[in-house]
Parts: sequence; structure tokens; C-alpha cells
Amino acid sequence: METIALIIDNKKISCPPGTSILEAAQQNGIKIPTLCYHPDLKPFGACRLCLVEDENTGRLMASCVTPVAPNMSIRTDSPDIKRHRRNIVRLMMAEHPESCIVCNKGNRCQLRAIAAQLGIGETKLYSMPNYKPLEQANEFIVRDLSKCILCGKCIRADHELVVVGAIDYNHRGFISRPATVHEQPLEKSNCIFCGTCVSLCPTGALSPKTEYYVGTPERESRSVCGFCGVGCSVTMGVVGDQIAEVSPSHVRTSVNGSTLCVRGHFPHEFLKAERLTQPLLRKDGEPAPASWEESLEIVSTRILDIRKQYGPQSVAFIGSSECNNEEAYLFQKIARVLVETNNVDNPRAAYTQAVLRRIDEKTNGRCRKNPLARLENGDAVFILNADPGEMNTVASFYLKRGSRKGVSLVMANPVRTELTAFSSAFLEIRPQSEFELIKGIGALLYEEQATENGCASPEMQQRSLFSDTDLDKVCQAAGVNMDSLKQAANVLRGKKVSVVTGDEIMLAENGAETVNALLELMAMTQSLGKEDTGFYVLAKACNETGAYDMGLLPDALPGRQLLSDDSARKHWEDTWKVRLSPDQGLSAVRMIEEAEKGNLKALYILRENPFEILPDPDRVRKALENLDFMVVQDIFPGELTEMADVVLPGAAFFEKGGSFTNMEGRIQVFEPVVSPPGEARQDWEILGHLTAKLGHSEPYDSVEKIKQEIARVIPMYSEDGRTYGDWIR
Amino acid sequence: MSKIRTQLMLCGGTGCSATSPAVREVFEKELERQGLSEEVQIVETGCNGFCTLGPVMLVQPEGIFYQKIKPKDVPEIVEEHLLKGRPVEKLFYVEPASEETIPTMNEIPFFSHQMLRVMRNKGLIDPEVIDDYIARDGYFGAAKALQEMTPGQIIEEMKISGLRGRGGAGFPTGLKWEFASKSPGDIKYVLCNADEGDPGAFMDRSILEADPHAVLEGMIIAARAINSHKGYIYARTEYPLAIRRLTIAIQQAREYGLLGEDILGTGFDFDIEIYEGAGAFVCGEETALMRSIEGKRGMPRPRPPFPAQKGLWEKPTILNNVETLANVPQIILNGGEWYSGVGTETSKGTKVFALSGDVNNIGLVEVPMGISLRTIVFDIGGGIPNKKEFKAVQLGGPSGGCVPEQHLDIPVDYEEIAKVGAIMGSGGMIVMDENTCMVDMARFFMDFIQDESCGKCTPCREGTRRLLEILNRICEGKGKPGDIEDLEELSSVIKESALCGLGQTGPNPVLSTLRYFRDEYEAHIYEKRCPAKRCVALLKFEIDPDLCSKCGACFRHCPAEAITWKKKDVAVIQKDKCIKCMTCFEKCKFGAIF
Amino acid sequence: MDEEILTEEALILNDIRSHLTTFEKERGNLIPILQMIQEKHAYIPREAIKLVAEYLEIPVCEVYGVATFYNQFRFHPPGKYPIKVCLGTACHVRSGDIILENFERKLEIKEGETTPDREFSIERVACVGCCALAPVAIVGETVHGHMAPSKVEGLLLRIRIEKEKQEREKLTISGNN
Repeated sequence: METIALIIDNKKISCPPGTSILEAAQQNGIKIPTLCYHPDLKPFGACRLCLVEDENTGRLMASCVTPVAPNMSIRTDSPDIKRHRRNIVRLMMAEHPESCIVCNKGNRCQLRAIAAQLGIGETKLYSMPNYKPLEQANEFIVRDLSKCILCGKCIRADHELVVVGAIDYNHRGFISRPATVHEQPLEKSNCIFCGTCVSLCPTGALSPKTEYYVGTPERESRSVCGFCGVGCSVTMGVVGDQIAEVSPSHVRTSVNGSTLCVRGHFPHEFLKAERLTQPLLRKDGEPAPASWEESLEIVSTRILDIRKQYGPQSVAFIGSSECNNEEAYLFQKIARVLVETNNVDNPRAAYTQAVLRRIDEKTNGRCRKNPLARLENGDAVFILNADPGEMNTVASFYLKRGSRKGVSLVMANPVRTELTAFSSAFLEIRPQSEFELIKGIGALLYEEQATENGCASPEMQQRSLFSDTDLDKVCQAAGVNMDSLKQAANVLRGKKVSVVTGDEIMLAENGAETVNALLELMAMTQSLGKEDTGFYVLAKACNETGAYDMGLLPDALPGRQLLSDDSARKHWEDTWKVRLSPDQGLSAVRMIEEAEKGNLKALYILRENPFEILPDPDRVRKALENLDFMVVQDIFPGELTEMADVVLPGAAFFEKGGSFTNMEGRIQVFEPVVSPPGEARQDWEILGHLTAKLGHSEPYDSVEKIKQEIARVIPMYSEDGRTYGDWIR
Repeated sequence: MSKIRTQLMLCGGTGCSATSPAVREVFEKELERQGLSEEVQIVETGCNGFCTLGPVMLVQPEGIFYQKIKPKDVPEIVEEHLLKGRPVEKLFYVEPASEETIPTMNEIPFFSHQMLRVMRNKGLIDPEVIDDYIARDGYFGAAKALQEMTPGQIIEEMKISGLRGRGGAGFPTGLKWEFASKSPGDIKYVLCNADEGDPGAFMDRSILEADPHAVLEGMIIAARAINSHKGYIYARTEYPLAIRRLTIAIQQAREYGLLGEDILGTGFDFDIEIYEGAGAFVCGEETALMRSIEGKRGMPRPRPPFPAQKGLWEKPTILNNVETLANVPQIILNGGEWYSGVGTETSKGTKVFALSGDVNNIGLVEVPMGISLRTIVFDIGGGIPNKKEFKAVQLGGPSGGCVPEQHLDIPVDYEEIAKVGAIMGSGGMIVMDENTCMVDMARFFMDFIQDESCGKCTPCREGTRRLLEILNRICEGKGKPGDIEDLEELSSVIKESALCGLGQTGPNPVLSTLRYFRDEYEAHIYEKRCPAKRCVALLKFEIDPDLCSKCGACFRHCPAEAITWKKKDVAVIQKDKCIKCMTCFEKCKFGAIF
Repeated sequence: MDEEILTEEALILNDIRSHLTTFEKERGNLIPILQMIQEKHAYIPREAIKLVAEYLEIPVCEVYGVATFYNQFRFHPPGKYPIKVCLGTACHVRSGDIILENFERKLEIKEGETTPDREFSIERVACVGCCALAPVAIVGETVHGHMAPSKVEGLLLRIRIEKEKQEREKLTISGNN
């Protein structure tokens, strides 16, 4: 590869052409101060702090926007450079309000840090503060544009990263500011409050609105956001034992980079909500505080008693797609190995997992890895009945960025969404007409392919799904006109197609066929299992994929293996040294039915709310009342905990260690940021104790131990047979 | 056609256009009345250049030059001159110094020191008639370039000519074209910068108004040189006449097959569109101009990549200003050698200046490179009016600098002018007399620059604002020790660290006035005195009894009735009533008020 | 008054809507479209920004950013007699700023503002290219050269008289009918 050799601060350096001087310096450990530069944003050259000097020519240049050239001899800290930097910061400071002491940005203010580095105290210029009204009416972002230094990061974040278009510069020169149209407050603009700008702002001009604390958090720790299936990497600022603020972790290899969404960035409600802080035991009809020892003892004895009395089928386990992998694995293991029942489910993600299973079956597991980056850099994307902006906001950023870069989006949805404006073709389809629609598009593309390749091609003949489709019927069924159908097909023609869809396609009776049809469409366009395409299923909960992988299902075993598959079952019997029933366990809906009938006696609910996700809450309530014994392990008190015989207080995602597998198939490991409140414990720890009580010989005394077991027994979670890495192998 | 014996070349340039339509109307009536309509043709020309005397008219073929024509003079001209052949002497030009009457244009010193290349057609053709242009060898250069020359030969000829960008920076035009021609790509653009934004400059406007086809022809040749098929003229929307004439010219050129597809049957396609700038000085900067055509905020972006590699819509682009392009046809027609025969070692050809300010002959002048500034100001410009002293001449507008008396003998040459701290610039040349306060002048330019700063980079946005703040304080009598040093320090930062040309040259007015008129700054700061009596805050609004002629002019004109005066008495200003409107300063012929 | 402006704006918006379609939906047409609005209506109403953004399918904040960047665009209706005072260099050398101050003082508004009766507005403009006539003020389309502080009052008076005359004529005409 061609490289360019140059000298920076007397150090010989070589780097690829096109590298900026700043990047070259940074890669070699040479620090240059910057304010407007950010690796995720296009270089801008506005603040001029990164000036360097070429000794050969004496020319000064902004290193962030100047590419390296052969034989440059760069000084990053000559006396002239330092003098200019000092003056530039002086100019900024003279315009800045003198409110450092009460500023939310506190010690993280980059302007202040640079001023301190350069030794600037008093500017010796008349103070010329550029007062702008403080804006803090909305509940997320405080804007104090008096402190703005016009680095343009917020505007570039808005335009380049999240592609919203809420702000741009207004006016010109000294009075120019990042502004909404007519300088209206943010809530009147189309700002989505993702907060990406806030985390990039180098000064106190943009800060998160927080009720807990003003200032600099005591420490910061990384975690993975648990509010949806994207799995954003976040940095949490901690004060005492409280999360004071959340921001994107700005790790380039993470899903989200510098972006985040309103839920992840500003989880005020979540953090403020009242928590369960100690185990509760029902005594004389009323929940009363109890010790962990006593509570777990009761849980294990009652479950074992009921099993003994009524058989394993009388006990059931409802888990959640919000559980992390370690909890999910342990939970189903408790059910299958220690209670010997397949009655285990995670009902929230039932439809999503159904789609995933269909894909897995059809492709023999070749489509498990779907990096979102492909949406940004591919050819075309077909979005079918899904609203990424609402469900997985950060994923929608990829789509919007892609659209701006020239990726063609074709969207078929019963309603218009934010992405409609980014689509090359939009089809407003009737609900549950997805299958017909794909057939229509497939047929239009198939005709072409058939004529091009000659009808005799055996591959074509196999694609019989599309071969004789009545297009008029398609249009009628989907409620679209022929022209727009053809337009959609034209956009996709000749391109590699990725698919984005959600669980709603499974609402139709022929949902499974819809998935097949989508796979056929991808296969026909030579897009299936390719390096630059993907089949994306939106995931509302943070670990829908992981819950499936861990076998938190009545008919599947860990590692995406079917319970009905004899050899798979045999494998797990050998692994766990137990006998497994080949009979499918109860699904959550069936559990309720069996509880109604009185067949189900004991139910253990981990981090799930059946009233929310199962139909007919009244019926669910009656069924649950019918149980002999109910354990609820959760973090918030509510109707369910009121009804439970035993309540076990667990931990929120940032209070525990473990891993999530996101919608891409990426496995992300995280450590606890803070401890759970009061006597609450990490959920794996509670389950670990329980396994011991239920008679498991090996103690699960660390999350690491569970991880190792998963890596050992589930091949797709092991990397070189050791621990699992970032991606499913 | 054959009957026409006389042409009346009436100036219709912006400077004259306030009054010339009325004059034309009376001419039409009178010619009709005298039965001369068939023989005498009225031609509305572009700017003649001698704006001070407007409206002006040249009678062809005799070359009689009339000035300051009023509608009531017209019957006399028609009756006496056109009918009886006796030119009207009272409308002839009178040389202010010698009081000599000069009847023909070419003998007037204002014109005789000039050398017309770019403006060779001014006042001689009807800019709205393409045949007039063609009759004076118009489009011959384009024909030659398209039919007989390869792009390489065109570029070579341009390089030989030594033509440098007339927009101000002086980059060799041939070299610029060569870079763009070597950039790979099928789509390339030729842009003409007609966004003449320097306050006090009107060269480009006048060229466009007087000879729009010359610019189009230059663009066609440039297009051929870099193989571009699409051009834009980015013109100030404040120049409606220029835009109208360009529009007509483009239309006519298309009709004649000189624009559009298959130009002159050579198979070469090129067309031009006019894009009206919306008024932002920074859009004179090339990258900002391109952003503006793309429909964006005109904020400059860092170079590299240079426009020759990635310009308009990321395609290779060349941008030349109006005057540069208007030079091109003759270079191609007469050869680069011919062109470079005039000028100095590094600056070839001619340069157009817009001469204005405190000078007798305000107008547009084209001079050979190498001529001295003194010749321009005192011979062509006719010196300073009202017997006042010359103080300095400002070159290059807000990005330029001023040249004081002691350097007036330097030649017009990019490098020589730069040596004394000014720039050639696009051609604004403002003469300043003893009543001009140089601190106020610097403040004026800084006010302009900071207002026009796009705001992107810190040094320009904050720095120019800060310079203005300091200058304002000095002019208001609130200057303090250290201000001059701050001005110098901040100027050097802005100059060396700003992103674009506008910012980098922004402090020039401060640096150049400090260089030659530091004493005026010091008088303002330490003595709270404005030597030029211009800074209102430093004026006392008192009357010097020794100078007062007791005429009462100030008393009569004071709108605030703040002056008391009786015949044969010295006037007195009552300070509590004075609103400092400066009317008395204007009316006092004796400089008695201070 | 406010209501009057509102109905006026509604009419303007309808007019803008009908003219938008003559432009192709290209980003490069943004400034020409804004110029069309400015030229036809002398200012750009708030809602028009949105209209243009929707038409060109670009974020409304970017339209606003562009509109506020350039000097040409105004966001408030100007007076019936817009006064532009040239502050080009030649005019400054001949005290154009003092002319501006005198207009401001006489009309009791600052540059960029409109008198409450919406008769006059004052604007400063960069060079208009009539340097020979410096200092220059432009009222409507008419250039007034060689301005002086003492001429400001007379100029305004002339406009007022002119207007009164026109109104009387109107009255006479309608009286005759």
C-alpha cells in the first residue's frame, strides 16, 4: 500500500494518503488541541485550534482538514502556533459568559480545559458576552447558546449522524448560532431529543436536563443500553450510587458511535421510579419484608413440593427478552434441568423470535449476523411494515444516512413514517397484505430476470413463488396502484436488497409465508447471505435474539436447537447429564390456560408483566389467582408483585454484569455500573443461589462462571472455544 | 441603415441612468420634430467611464464629447449641432486646472492616459446588439479557439500571455485552467464571478453593462480549454441592468449558434446560465460562491481539495472574474505575446480601476500595468477637489490597504503594490483627502468585514468583531493604552489562522492604516482628538472665532435651532440643543467648527 | 393591524404556492425561489419558509439558515417608501453614515426597522455602484445622489407632499365620478 512519509515534531511518520495531519499525529501519540473536530463528523476546520506549522514553507494550517503530503515537516507547538492558539482561546473566552462555577458542564468543559492547558486566565480584552435566552422548557435538553463557540458539532450531528434537520446555522458572523427555524424552542422543531448533540457539545451550551445533580459526575462507566434491541454502548455518569446522566460512549466500533435516542439518553422516568429493595414474603395475606435466605428457601421448597406432588408439568417459568443471556440461560436451565420441565417461555418477543426462527431454518443459520452498517453502505433496502424510527431509533439513523449516501429505500407500510420522506418509493399498503405485496414485487423482478437469463435456468424455475402472480390481484389485495408497484420494483431492480421488517408481519395468518417470500426475494436478487446485505428484524426488547439463543422457549433448546430434534436433545442430555422430555413445554398463553384449569400450580415470573403482554388482563389475573404459588422476580413494585407469594428484588441492566445479543446478532458484554438498591441483587446471583437450593451441585458464584458455561456449551457463543466475543461465530 | 450619418452614443450606465432616460426621450422628440430620425441614431451604451460628468454622450463619427447634458439642452444640440453642424461649446468638457475647453473625447486627459482593452467597446457599441459586437471582431477569438486550436494550445497561449486573475489574488489564469483540464471527469464547470462585492468597486458591473458578449466569449474559450459544457455567471442581484444585458446577450448568442449545442459547427457544446447572488460578500470567495450556487449557506470550506479538483457539486471547476474573462478573447485572437507586450515583469496587460472618493474625475479607468498610481490619481483623476490635500488612496476594498503620498510613485503591479501593504484587488481605488480620518476608515472596513464574516471560523468571527470593538472605542474617545498593541496582535492571528481569504485579509485595513497613520491612532487614544475632524464623538461642536467669517450659513441650516448668530457676529453653538447632525460642518466653508 | 397583516400573508402564501411549481425541485433552486418571493412581495413571510422546504423536500431549518445568511432577504414587510442608504466606501468617505443617522433620527427608527405607520423603512446597503453620486440614498427605485445632512429633511418632506398630492388626486377623481 502506498504511504506518505513526513515528520511531525521531529518524529518520522508514515501513513496512507488522505490521512489528515491531525489523525496522523494522533495515531502517533502526538496531541493537538481541538474543539470542532470529532472522528465521527466530517472535518470542518472552524475552530482553528489545531493549527500546525510546516517548517518547510512556514505555512500555518488547520491540521484537521489538511491532508498529509510527502516531506512535510510539521511543528505542532512552535511559539507562533502557541501564540495563535492562546489568542484564539482568548477571543472565545472574552465572548463567553463568566459562569464556569455554576456551569453544568463543569470539569468536562473542553474550552475550559484547553484554556487551562494554554495558561489563559484573564483575557485582558473587554468582556463582550453574547447573551442569548436560556432555553430549558423541554424536559431533556438545556440550551444556553451564550456559551456556544460555534464549533458546529451539534449541527453536523443533526445533519450527518441522525439526519433529522432540526437545527442549522442562522444569520452570519458574530450573531450566528445553531438555530431552529425562526429560533423557536426545540420542542417546536422536529428535534427528536436523541441528545446526540448534547454529548458532542464541548461547552455548556448544550447540556442534559437533570434533576438529580448539577456538575461533573464522580465517575463514569460503560454499559449497554437496555431500552431496545439495538444495544447502544453508553457511558453512565455516577454520583454516589445514582446514575446522574447517560451519554453515548463514543466508541467507534459500537453500534451507535456518537448517537443515542431519547429513551437511552434521558431515562429520567426509569431512574426516578420507585424500586423493589428487599425480598417480600406473603404472610397472613400481606407481603412482608423477609431475608434472602428465608425467601429463597421458601421458593425452592415450594417448587420442589409442588413438582413432587403434581409432577413437573405443574410448574412453569415465564422469562423475559429483557433478561441478559446469563440469566436467560440459567433460568431455562433451572426449568429443564432442576425442575425437569420445558414450561419456559419469553412471550414478549414471540413474534420476532418466530421470524428469526423462520430465517434460521430457511438459511441454515447463515443469516445470524446482520451488521447495521450494511444498511448505510449497501445498494437498496426494502422496509416492510416496520417503523424503525419508533422502535429502534438508532437503526433508523443508519437508514437515513444510507438514503443520503444513495442507498435506495423502498418502503411498504400501512402508515407513513419519518422514513417515508427518505424513500425512493413508498407503498401505503393494507394491513396484513405483506405476502401479496412481496409476490407482486417479486413477480415484476422475476419477469425481468427470467427474460434476461432465459426461462430455462434451473435456478429460476425453483423460484416458482413469483412465477405466476396475478399483478392486478396483488394491487387489489395490497391497496396499491400498479404504477407505484412498478416504481418500487424498478427501484430494486438490479440491486442487492437488504430487508428490514418487524414482528407485525406475523400478525397475518400467512406470516410465516411472508418471511419465506422475503427470503425468496432476497435469494432471487442474489442478496441472501451476502457480505453486504442483511435481513433485519426490529427488536423492541434488548435481548430478543439472546433469549432465543439461550433457549428461553418451550420448544427450543439453547443454541437455536429444536427440542423435537433427537440428536440435539441427546447432546443436551449429555451436556447437562439429565433426561429431557421431548414434549414441547407450555407457551405463556398455554400456561395461563392451564392455570385457569388448575393444572398449573406454580409460576415463576422473571422480569415480565403478563398483564401487559398477554391478551385479556382480567382473565390473566384470575388465572394467576388460581395458582398455588407464584414467584415474581422484578425491579419495580406493581400489581403483579402485590399478588406474588414471594417477591425477589432484582437489578436494572446497569446494575448487573452479563451480556445482551442485539438485533444485529452482536454479543455485548457489560459490567455493573452501580449496585442494585437496598437489598436487591443481580438477577443471575438470585438464580445462582436458587440453583444451589434446588440441588445443583456446582455453585454459580460469579457471572463469569455462567459465561464460561455458555461459551462451552453453545458453539455460536464461543470464540476459539474460550469466551464469546463481539459477534456470533 | 445606409442613411445614418451620425450616431449619438448616449451613456446608459448605472451612474448616468438616473438622468439619461429623460435626455433620450427629449432627443427622440426633437429628432422627430427636425426630421432627423432617419439620419441620426441614438445608441444607449454601457458605462462610458467618466461618471462624474454624467450623463455623457459621444457624437460619432466626429468624436465630440458632451457632458452633464440636461433635457433642456437637447433642442439646442439637435438644432445647432446636428442640423447646422455647430457643436454646442457650453457642454464641452473643461479641464479644471487649465480651464481649457476640450471638444473631443480622445483629447481629454481622463481618457488619453488610458489604454482600452477590456473596455475597448465601451461607449462604441450597443451592448444589446450582438452584431455591434461582432462588427468589432467579436467572437473571432472563440471561433479561433474552437476551430483552430486544441485545448492544450489555448492553455499555452494563456500561459504565454501572463494574464493573472483580476479578482484580486492574481493567480495565473492559464495555470488555473491547466489544473482543471487535467482533473479527471466528464462534467466540469466554468464559473464567472460577477459578485462584485467590494464597496466602492463597479468595474465588473460596467464591463457587463457595456460589453456583455466579451465575457460570454471568454467563458466559451475557457470551456473549450477545460472541456466543460456548462457555465454559470454568478452576478449580484443588485445589478439589474447588468443582468438584463447578460440575459439578452446569452439569448442572442444562442440564436447565433455561439452558445448551446454544436457551437459554430465544431461539435462543441456549451451553455451559460445566470445565477443571481443574494448578497453576501463572502460569496466572492470561490468555495463559498460554489456552495451558494448549490443552494446552501455561502460558507467557505477548507482547501484542498481545490475547486480545480472538486468544485461545484464536487466536479472540477474554474472560477474567473469578469475582467479576467473579458481579456481572454483578445489574447486568443492576437496571441499571448501581443498581450504580454504591455505591463511589467510579473504583471501583464491592463487593469481596470473604479476611481472614486475625493477625486475630481470619478469613473472607470483602464490603464496599462506599470503606470504609476500618481498618474491615475492626478492626471486621469484630475486631482483632489476643493483644493484639499491628498492623504491616501485605498486599493482593494476591505481586503486591501491604503497607499500614502510617499508611495504614490509605485507602479501598478501585483508585487509592488503588495510591498507597500496594499493589494491590487479587484480594482476599487478610493482617493481620500485630508478630511478622511484613517481610524474611522479602518473602522468602516472592519464594520463591513465583521458584518460579512460568515461566522464559521473563530479568528474571523470573533477577531474582526473584536477589532471593530477596539476601533469603535478609539473613535468614541474611549481608547486606552494597549489598544494599538491588541489591534496588532489580533490582526496577526486573524491573518495567519483564518479559514478563507476574506478572513485572512480582513485585518489589512487596520494593519495598513497603522503602518502609515499610527499618529492618528495615537491622537485619538492619548489626546482624544480626531485630526481629520471626522469622529463625531471627538468633536467639540464649537466655533473658532478666529476662523469664523460671521456669514451665518451654519445658523440658517441648523435643523435644531442650536446656533445663535447675529449679523457681523461670531456664531455660537448651544451645546444643550445640538443634536450633532454635522449639518453645520457641511455648511461651513471656513472650517471654523471643531 | 395584525389581522390585516395576517390576511395579507394568506394571500401572499397562495401566490407563492402558485409560483413554486415553475421551479424544478432541485436544491440549487432554493435561492432563486427565495429571490422570487422577495422580489414579488418585498419580504419572506414566516410560513413561506416552510412552504419552500416542503416543496424542495429539504429540512425547514436549512431553508431558514440560507434565508438568514444572505443580505437580500427580509422577514418583515418593508415600508411603502423603503429608504436604502448606501454605505459603500465612496459613500462612507463622503459621510454616508451621517446621512443614515439623520434618517434614523428624523424617522425615529433604526436601520432594519419600519415606521409604525408602515410608510417608511430604513436599510443600509453595500455599494450600489453609483460612487460618482456619493453619498447616495435610494427611495423606492429612485436614486438620490450627493446627499447631505441638510437634504434629509427636505427629501422626506418631498415624499410626504408627493403622497398627499396623489391622495388628493384620487379624491378628486373619485369625487368627479
